[in-house]
Amino acid sequence: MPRFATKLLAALFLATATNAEAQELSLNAFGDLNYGYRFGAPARESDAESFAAFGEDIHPKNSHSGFGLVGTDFVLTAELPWDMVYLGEINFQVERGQQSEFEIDVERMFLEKRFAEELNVQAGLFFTPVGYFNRTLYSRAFLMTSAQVPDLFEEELGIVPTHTVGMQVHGQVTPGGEHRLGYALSVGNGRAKNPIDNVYARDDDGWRSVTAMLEWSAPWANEFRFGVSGWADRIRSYRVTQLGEVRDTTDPTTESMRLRELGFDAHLVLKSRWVNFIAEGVYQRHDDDLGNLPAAEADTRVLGGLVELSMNLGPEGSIKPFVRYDRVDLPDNAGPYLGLRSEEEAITRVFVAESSMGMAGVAWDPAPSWRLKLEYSRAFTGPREMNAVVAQSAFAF
Amino acid sequence: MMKRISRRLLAVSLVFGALTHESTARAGRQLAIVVNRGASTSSLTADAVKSYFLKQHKQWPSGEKVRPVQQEGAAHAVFLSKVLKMSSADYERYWLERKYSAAETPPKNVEDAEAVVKFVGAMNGAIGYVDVGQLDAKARDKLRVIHVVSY
Repeated sequence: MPRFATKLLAALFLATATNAEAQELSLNAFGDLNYGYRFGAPARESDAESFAAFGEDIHPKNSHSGFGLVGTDFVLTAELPWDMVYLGEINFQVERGQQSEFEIDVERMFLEKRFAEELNVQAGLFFTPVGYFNRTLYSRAFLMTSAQVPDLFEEELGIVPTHTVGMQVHGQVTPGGEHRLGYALSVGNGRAKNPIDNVYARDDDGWRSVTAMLEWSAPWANEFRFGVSGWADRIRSYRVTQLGEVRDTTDPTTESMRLRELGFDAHLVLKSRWVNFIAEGVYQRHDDDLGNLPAAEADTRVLGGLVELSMNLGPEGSIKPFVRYDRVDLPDNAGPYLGLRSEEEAITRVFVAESSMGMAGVAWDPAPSWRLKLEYSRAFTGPREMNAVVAQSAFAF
Repeated sequence: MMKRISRRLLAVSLVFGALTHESTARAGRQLAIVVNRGASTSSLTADAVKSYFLKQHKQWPSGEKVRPVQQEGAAHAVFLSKVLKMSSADYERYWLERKYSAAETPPKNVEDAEAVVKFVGAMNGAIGYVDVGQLDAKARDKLRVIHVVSY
């Protein structure tokens, strides 16, 4: 996110926070401290070599060897007059790949008018209404049972569009009994010329992204949800074929490209007295819209997902042993778009790796606002070392 | 000999009587879920009460906004275990998640049953809970009991 935009939004956040004549104000914070130890050979040697030459940060931020402070996240919720709600979320976080640089990142900032249970209208920056993980857990370690953020929903990898700037209508209807059918429909600025930037202030490509979600919640066990979501966008960017190649976007010889992005997500969540289960899968495709890309880049697919199973043992279910499996399958070279990174007029291509990882561990809640985790993970593909152990202390208040 | 047996019998019956009285008193306690007298709802299931307090449903069938109110102390613990069927830790975690993912805030918190009666009696759409023993005639004029749980 551009620095000036960050500062502007941070100032807006503080101004709104102090001036709003709120009926109810609530401030929450989330944070986590990690200690990681990674060992063994890379899961796939060729990926490790490509990563060493052309990759960004190889590891999720909370699983480096040694101590790691991911950051602290502050969420301000204000219930305003006329059934309006404001939410601002600011994250003070370590920049990916940096050892000591912190950045201020505005995660969300929206105003919502609640007309009725069936109709709420939101405007601002919000989580794209895709799936379960992105809307509910995002990267807040305290809310997760396992320790590491799945690559699929890691904002700084940009595989799935995690955030949207625009408008959203959402609500729920009650088809019968305690069953609920929730929906969300959003229109936003969509993807930028590289997948990790959000288009906050202006979007000149003339298209908007559209996302729709349907979710059924049943009164079975403590929580039961099944949902499907889909998104469509058109992306205007530049063709960079070689890893590490840098192109000037103002140079007329730099080839433009236009892609149609279509994505689908399905999720199933069950939380009961003894067992919790989360499964989520994503299918995403990019199709050439101008007809100028070679066959290998004209029509590419991404498949990914995660499955997590945990138990609630001990007093009040505070001890949670868990297993999780994550997978992201990418096209060759991550396709024409997902490897692109840009800085002002320059655009380049980095190596984005597929991943396949299994995790097992235990989470323990010594207090309602404190969660400790110990996790072992094994990478089956990708450039990461095959083994990792992560200890995490996550809190919220 | 007879005197000793009588004394023992007396002691046993006193202990038994005290225990019986204690358990009767416990069994007799009830928590009432109350709404404003003007509400169109006359009864609710425990699941429906739960969904209103957890803000899974935020409107009464009439379209009126649901305004749940919770009180501190022993009645809250009973309400958590008997109606919401959650531990206090689960309840706290639930609201952290809801605040984060849906910008929802927990029910309004008041100090005691008297404050619940005052709030629910004055506010359309309000729903709260009080021990039945604390519902005097004045309170019953302003409130309607829509669900009762024994504890």
